[in-house]
Amino acid sequence: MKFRTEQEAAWCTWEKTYDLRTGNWRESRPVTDRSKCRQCGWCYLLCPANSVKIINGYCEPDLNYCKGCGVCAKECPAKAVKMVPEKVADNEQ
Amino acid sequence: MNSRPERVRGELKVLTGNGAAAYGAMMCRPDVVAVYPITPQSEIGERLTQFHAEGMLNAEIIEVEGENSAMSMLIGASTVGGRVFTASSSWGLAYMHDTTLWAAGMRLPVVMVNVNREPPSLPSVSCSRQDMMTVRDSGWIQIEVENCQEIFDTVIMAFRLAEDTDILLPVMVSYDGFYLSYLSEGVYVPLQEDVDRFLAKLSTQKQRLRVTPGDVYCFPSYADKELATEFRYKHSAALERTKYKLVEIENEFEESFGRSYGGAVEEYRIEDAEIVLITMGSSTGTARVAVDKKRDEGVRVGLIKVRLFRPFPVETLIQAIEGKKCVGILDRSVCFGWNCGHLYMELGAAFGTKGICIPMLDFIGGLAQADITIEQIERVIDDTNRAAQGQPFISVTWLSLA
Repeated sequence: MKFRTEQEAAWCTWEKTYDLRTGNWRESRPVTDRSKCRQCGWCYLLCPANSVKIINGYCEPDLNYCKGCGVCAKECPAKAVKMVPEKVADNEQ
Repeated sequence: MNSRPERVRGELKVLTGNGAAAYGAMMCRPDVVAVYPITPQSEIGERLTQFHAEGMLNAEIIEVEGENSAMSMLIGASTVGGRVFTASSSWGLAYMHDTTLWAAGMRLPVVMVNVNREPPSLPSVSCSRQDMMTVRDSGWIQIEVENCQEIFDTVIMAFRLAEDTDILLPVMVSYDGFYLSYLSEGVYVPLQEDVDRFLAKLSTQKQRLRVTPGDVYCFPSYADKELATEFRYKHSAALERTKYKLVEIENEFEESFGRSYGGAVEEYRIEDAEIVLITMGSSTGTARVAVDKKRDEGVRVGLIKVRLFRPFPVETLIQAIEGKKCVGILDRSVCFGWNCGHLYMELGAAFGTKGICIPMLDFIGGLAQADITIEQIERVIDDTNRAAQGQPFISVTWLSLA
């Protein structure tokens, strides 16, 4: 029998919580236009999944966990965040 | 019951079933006790609170506002490594249903006494085993006992079983409400130091995981797909291990206290028996009398008492039943959808998977505290005997209606 853990139940350290990649649920993803972004951090505060990361001073979604709810796009005061359907975003890459 | 008081240090006390359960739990020195009262179990909470007030029990007694909270409290306390105890019955068990599932899935060694009573669906303050059957697939270990001494002893063994690192599962010790809960019997109460020594073996084992300050664990963490399957597999494997672990613990218990109940099943006059009566719980005593009577009349009947209901001791039962001609099963609950009792349904599954094909007769009796009488059991034996001789028989008989 191949086991992934020695534990008898779902115990794990907080750094290594057994992963639920909620990003798999996403239907469209937030894309930030850095020329418009004021680096205010509003999306960082509002993200319900806590999946906005600050990279070089700019807020970027962690696509492993971003469910694509669109709160950041709706609330961005500079209108810098747009929701792009996954298929379109994949094609652009 | 093999009572050998001459080997037992301690004293004989007169205790009710509930008193025996509370006394047994108290002697195991639980850290946290959360009991919400419900007939016929309330006395357990009262007794434990009294032990606490008298300084005999050094535990955190939490006054909860319901059974759901009681089990939730114990889940928390057990997660941080505490020894925990609760008791409930019927409506209360139903009210804590989701948390009983949590305790099992989280592999927490909670010990609970469940005093069998008709659950909601019939407004009946009376005995039946219908309540414990509602959680038989929850992953708990379920042990059904017969008398006050067995209640006392099994509660102590339940802590050893639950907290064993090979097992780590919640244990439910059940006994028939009203018949045993308020029945006063002589109970041999051992010395505290002997109980301590019996339980001390747990402290020599690898410490179970627990949440401690500065050592941050996520529990229960999310588990999906393969990982969830893995935990279900391990849970099921632990239940399988319970079958021999219980026997091991009972053997040790017998060494320390001189009493034993045969492990998963207790056999009575089975060796040369042709037909076998299978029972659970308090009516086993009545059944013994009926078996003795029928033996005097020349009927070669034996008796098996099923103690361990979950995990179901398939192998032990098959071994005991080997070579017998016919079994009569005395049930005290209704397995809806199968039109029979639970014990019959479980035994049918066991016999089926092991290729045993002998007539099985089910007798549903004792619902809502209808008395299971010696006459009724004599009739059960007669019917079973006729079936053993090849005569036609009815699979399921409802005793109170027949």
